[in-house]
Amino acid sequence: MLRITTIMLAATVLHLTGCRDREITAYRAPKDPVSTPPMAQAGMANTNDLPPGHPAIGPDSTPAEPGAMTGSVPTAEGDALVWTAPASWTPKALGSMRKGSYAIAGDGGAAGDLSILAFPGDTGGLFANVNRWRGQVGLGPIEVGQIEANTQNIEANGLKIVLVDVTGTASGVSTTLIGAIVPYNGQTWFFKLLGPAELVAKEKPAFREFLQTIKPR
Amino acid sequence: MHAVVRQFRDFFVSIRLTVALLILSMILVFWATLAQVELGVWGVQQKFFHSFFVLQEIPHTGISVPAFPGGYFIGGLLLINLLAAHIYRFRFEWRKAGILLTHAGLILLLLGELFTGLMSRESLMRLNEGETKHYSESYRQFELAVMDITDPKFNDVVAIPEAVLGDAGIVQHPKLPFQVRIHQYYPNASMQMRTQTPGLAPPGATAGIGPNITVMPLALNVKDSEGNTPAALVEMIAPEGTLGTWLVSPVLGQPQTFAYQGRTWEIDLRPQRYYQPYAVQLLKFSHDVYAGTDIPKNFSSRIRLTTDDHHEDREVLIYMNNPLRYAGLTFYQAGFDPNNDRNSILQVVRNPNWVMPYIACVMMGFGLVIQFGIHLFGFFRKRSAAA
Amino acid sequence: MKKYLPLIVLLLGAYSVASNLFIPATPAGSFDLTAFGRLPVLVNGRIKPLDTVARTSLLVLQNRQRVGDPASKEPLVASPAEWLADVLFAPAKADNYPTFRLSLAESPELVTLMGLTDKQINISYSSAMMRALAFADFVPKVRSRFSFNQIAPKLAELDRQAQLAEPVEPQLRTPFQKAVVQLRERVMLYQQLKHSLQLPDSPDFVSELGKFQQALPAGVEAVRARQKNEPYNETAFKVMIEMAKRYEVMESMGYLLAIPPADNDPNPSAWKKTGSALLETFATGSVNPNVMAYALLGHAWREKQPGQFNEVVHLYRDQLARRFATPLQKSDIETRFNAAEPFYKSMTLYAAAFFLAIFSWLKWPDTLGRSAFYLTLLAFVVTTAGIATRMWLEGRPPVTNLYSSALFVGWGSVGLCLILEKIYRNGVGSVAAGMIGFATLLIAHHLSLSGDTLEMMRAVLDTNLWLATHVVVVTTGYAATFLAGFLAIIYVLRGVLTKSLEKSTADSLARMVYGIVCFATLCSLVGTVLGGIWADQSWGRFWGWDPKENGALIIVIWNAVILHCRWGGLVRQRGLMALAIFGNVVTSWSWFGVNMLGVGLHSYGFMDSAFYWLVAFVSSQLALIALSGLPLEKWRSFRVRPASA
Repeated sequence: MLRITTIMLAATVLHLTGCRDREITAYRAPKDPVSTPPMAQAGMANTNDLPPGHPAIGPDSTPAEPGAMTGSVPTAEGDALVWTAPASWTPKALGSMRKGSYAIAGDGGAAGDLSILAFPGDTGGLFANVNRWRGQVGLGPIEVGQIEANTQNIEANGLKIVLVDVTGTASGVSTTLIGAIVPYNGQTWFFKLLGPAELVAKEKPAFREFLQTIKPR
Repeated sequence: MHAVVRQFRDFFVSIRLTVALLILSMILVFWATLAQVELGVWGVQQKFFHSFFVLQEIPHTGISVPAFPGGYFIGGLLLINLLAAHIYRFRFEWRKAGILLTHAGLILLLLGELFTGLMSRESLMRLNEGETKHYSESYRQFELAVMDITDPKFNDVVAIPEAVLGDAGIVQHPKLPFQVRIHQYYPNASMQMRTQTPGLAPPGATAGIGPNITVMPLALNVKDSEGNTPAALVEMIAPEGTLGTWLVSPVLGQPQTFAYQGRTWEIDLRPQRYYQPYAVQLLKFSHDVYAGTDIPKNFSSRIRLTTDDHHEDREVLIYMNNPLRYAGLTFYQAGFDPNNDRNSILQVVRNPNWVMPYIACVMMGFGLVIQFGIHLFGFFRKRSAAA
Repeated sequence: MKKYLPLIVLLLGAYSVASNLFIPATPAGSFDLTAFGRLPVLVNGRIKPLDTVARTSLLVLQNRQRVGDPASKEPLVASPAEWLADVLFAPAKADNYPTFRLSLAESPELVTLMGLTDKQINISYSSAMMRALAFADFVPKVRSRFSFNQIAPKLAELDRQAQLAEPVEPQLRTPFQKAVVQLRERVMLYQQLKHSLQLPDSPDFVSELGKFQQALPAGVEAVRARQKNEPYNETAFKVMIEMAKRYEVMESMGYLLAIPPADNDPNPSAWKKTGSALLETFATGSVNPNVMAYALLGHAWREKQPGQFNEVVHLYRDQLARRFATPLQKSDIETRFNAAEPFYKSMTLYAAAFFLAIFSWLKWPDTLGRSAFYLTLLAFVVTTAGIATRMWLEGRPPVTNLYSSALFVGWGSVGLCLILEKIYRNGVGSVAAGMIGFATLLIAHHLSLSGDTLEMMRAVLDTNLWLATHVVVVTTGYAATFLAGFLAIIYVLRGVLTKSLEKSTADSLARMVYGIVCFATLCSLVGTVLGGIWADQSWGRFWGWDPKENGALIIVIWNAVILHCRWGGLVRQRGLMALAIFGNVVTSWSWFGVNMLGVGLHSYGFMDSAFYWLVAFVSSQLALIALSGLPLEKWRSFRVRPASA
C-alpha cells in the first residue's frame, strides 16, 4: 500500500513539475539601471538597419555558461594578453570568440564597438587582414607594395603592434575602423574599434593609450 | 497468504534485491561518469539519474530503447526494498539500533535528493561593478519576453518559455493586446549578416533587424562548457492585421522595440529570468592571485542588498565558502570573467530542502559509528575472554 | 644471536635513516653549497629554498635528481644545489650536463628531430663487465638524457613543431606532439633558470652592473633631456636604451622571484625578478644591493673563490634575517627535509619489512615477524615525520593534492596494518604494510616528477576546515578499502600457492578483512557526505554528480555491497575475499581513473603511461579474483583438509 502511495506521490510531483516548464508567466519587473549603452532612439521600429552601435551579428554567440560551475574558476586557456580599458568604455557580454568587448558611447546616441578577438596562426597574413578591414568600411583592396603606407608599427610592453586606420562608409554612414594586430605566441590578436567617423576620431587618443596597456598575462 | 503474494513480498524484502540494486547503481554511476566526457554533467543527470530508464539509441536508426534502469528506477526500488524489509522484519533490538539509524538516514537522503531534484533551482547573476539587478538568469533555459516598457518605472512582462516556443503555435495572453505567432524556433543557431553571405533566400523577418540577418540552425549542444544560442521568428498579429515578423535571439544582444496603440513594446529572446523583490548591486569585486602565479588565491564580492520596501538596505561580503542566505535564496561566489576584473558571477540557488541532507548525514554517521562500535566492542570482549 | 636479531635490524634501519639527517659541515676552503641551497626565493607563490628549486627542476627536466652520464660511475655534480649554481652562474658549464630527458623508447621521432647522432646516443662502457651487462640488457645501451649543447642546434625546429602542436588540445595530441611540447617546456624552464640571476651572455655580470651604475647619472640625464627635446648626449642615451633592453629580457625570461621586497614595502610577498629590480634602477638611481649580492656570488663561483662565495652567502642571509626570520627558518627545515629523503628511505624499509615478514611464514616466525614489525614501525614513524613536516611547511592538513593523497593512503593503510599486527602477530599486517607502503611511495615518487609537490591551493579549495575533515576522512576510506583488498590478496595467494594458510590463519584473515571493510564503509560514507556538505557550503549543490564525487560514491556502494553480501549470507570466506579484491579495482579507479577522465577514452588516453599502469593493475586484480574462484581442491592449503570456505 505504502509502495503504491509513494509511486503515486512521485508521479504527481513529476507531473506538476512537468507543467511548470510550459507555463507562460506575466509579471511586473522593476527597471534596473541600465549599464549597457542606451538604445539610440526609440523610434527605430520597423527599420531595416541595425541600430547604430549595434554589435555586428556574426558567428559570435551569447555568453556561455562560465566553465562547469563546480566552483572552478574560468580562466582563459593558455597564454593570453591582458589590458586595461578606460572607465568610459562599457564592457559587454563576450561571445565564444570574443576575448573582450566594449561599447563606446558618443554624443547624440552615436556608439562605437570595440572588439577583441584572438585567432590561432597568422590568419592569412597582414596583407589579407588589412584588406579585410578595408572591406568592412567599403574601401577597395590595396596592393602589397602599399602596405607600408597604410599601416603603422608601434610597440607596447614588448609586443609588436601593427596599427591600421581606415575611414570609409558602411550602411551609408561615414565610418572609421581603427584596429591593431598583435601577433602573440602563435596567435593573432585583433583589437578593433569600429564606429561613426566622428566618434572614433574623438576616441583615437584613448584607444592608442589603451593599446599601450596591452601586455602578456 | 496466497503463494503469489508471498513470492511478491519475498522479492521485495530480500537482501538479494538490495545487493542487486546496489550493484546496478554502481554500474549506473560508473557508466554515467564515463559518459560525462561526451554529454557533460547536466546531460548525464538527465539521461542517467533523473530518469526511469537510460535510453540508448540503436546506431543508425534514431530509435531509442531502454538500455538500463535509470536513477529514479533504482533509487525508487531501493527505497521500497528498504522500507519493505524494515516493516516486514521490524523488531527493535538495541543490537540493531545502528543499522536502523543508518537506513533511516539513507531513506531521508534519497528522499531529500528526490525533492532537491524536483524543487531546487540554480541560476546565475552576472554583475559588473556598480551594476544593479533584481533578477538572476537561468543557465540553459530561454524565454521570449514581450514587454510593455511605456512606464518609466517598470516593465509589464509576459514571458513565454522555451517549451512553448518549440511548439511553434499561436500564443494569446490576456496581458497582450496582440497575438504572438511563433513561425520558427531553432534551439541552437548561428547568425550572420546578409551582406557577408549574398545570394540567400529572402528573410522570414520583416521588422526589426531580422531582415539583415540569416539564421543557420545548429545541432543542439549538450556540453556544459558551450551553451546554445536559440533563435526564433515571431509575428505579432493585432486585430487590425500583422505588426510584422521579428527575428529574436540572445545573440542580438539587446531587445527590439516597436510601438502599438500608443504604447512602446519590447521583445527579446533571453535567458529565463527569475525576479526577486530586492535588488543586488555589486559594489566591489576583488580577486587576488598567489605572488608570481596565476593561481587564484581568493575572490570576493561586496554587494549591497536593497529590498523594494526599503526595510532592508545593507552591505554583504560574499566570498568562497561564505555565501549569503537571504529569503530562501543563497548567493555564492561562483566565478568571474577572466577578461574583466570588475565582473563577478554569483550562483543563486533556491533549495528549500537544503537541511535534509545534513540531518541524513548525521543520522548515517552516528548509525555506522554505533554499529561498528558494537562489533568492535564484541570482538575485543571475545578476544579477552579467549585469552 | 637470534634473540637480538629484531633489535639489530631496527638499529640498522635507524642508522640508514639518520645518516642523511645530519648534513656534514662544509670543510674549510670549499664552497658552502648547503648554505647556498638554503637561500630563500619565491617561486609559484611560495617562498622556498634554492635547494628545492634545484631538486624539483631536475625532476622536471630529467626525472631524477642525479646529474651524470651512464658511462661513468661518478656523478658530474655532487648535489642538486651545485648543479643549480652552475646553471645560474656558469651556464656555459651547465650547458654540457646531460639534463634533458629524451627517451628513444618513448619518442624515437623526437630523438631524430633533435638531430642526435648514434655516437651521442649509444653508450660505450669502458669495462668489459659493463659491456657484457649492457649486452644482456641489465644496464642501458642507449642514453636517455642529453645536454643543452647537444640539442641546441635544433631548437628552432623544436620551436616550430611545438607551435604546430600547441593549438591542439592536450588530450588530442599525438605522442610525438606531447613529447615535443614537453621538451620545449623543459628547455623553457632551463632557459628561464639561466636568466634568473644574471644574463647568460654576460662574461662577468658584476662588472656589467658596475659599468651600468657608473653610466647611470649621465644616461638618466640624457633621457630626460631628450624627453624635453633639449640637446642630449647621444652615446649616454644609447647606452641606457641598450641596458634597458637587456634587463627587459631578464625580466621577461627570469624564473625565480629572487629579490626580496624593499624594507619599506608593506607586502612581504612582493618579491621581484632580478630583471624587474634592475629596471627599477632607472627610477632609484642605484643598483639593488640584493641583485649585486647574487652577482658577486656568481663571480666568486666562476672564479673558484670559495672564501668570497661563503662570505657573500652569509652576509646576504644575515641581512634577510632582519625581516624574513620565519621564512628562513622554514627554508632551513625544508632543505634538511629534502636531504633526509624520508619517503625514499621508508620505501627501502617497507621493502625490507615485506621480505622479512614473508620469510617469517617459512622460518623463525617469531624472530623474523618481530623484525618486520619493528622495521614497519620505523618506516611508519619516518613517513609520519615526513608528512608532519610537509604539513608544517605548507600550513595545511595532510592531503592537498594527488601526491599527498598517495602519501596519506600509504600512511593510513600502514597505520591500520600496525594495529592488526599488534593484535594478531602473524606477519600478515607486516606483509600488507610492506606491500602498500612501498607501492604508494612509488606512486608518490612518480607523481612528484611534475614539479614541486607543495603547491598553492586554488581559491575554492582554500579552507582548512574541509581539507582537514572531508579530504582526510575520504582518503582514509581509500586507504582502508585498499588494505582490505590487499589482505584478501594475501589470503588467496597463500591459500592457493602455499600450504601455510591454516584454518586459524584463514579465519583471522577473514575477520581482519571484515573489520577493515566496516571501517572503510564508515570512512568513505562519512567522508563522501562531508564532501557533499562542503559542496553545499561552497556552491549550493549538495551533490553534483561530478566525477570525483561519483568515484567516492562508488566506493561507498561497493563497501555496502560487501557488507550486505556477508550479512545476508550470500558469500562466505572466499566470496568475501573476491569482493574485497574487487574493492581494489573500484578504489584505484576512483583515485586515479577519474583524473584521467579529462583525457577521456580517446585514442590518446591509452597511450598515457599512468593509464597503462591502471589497466595493468585492474587486470591483475581480476586475475586474482579468478584465482579465488578456483575449486577448493585446487587450493594447496585446503586440499588435504577442506576449510569451511
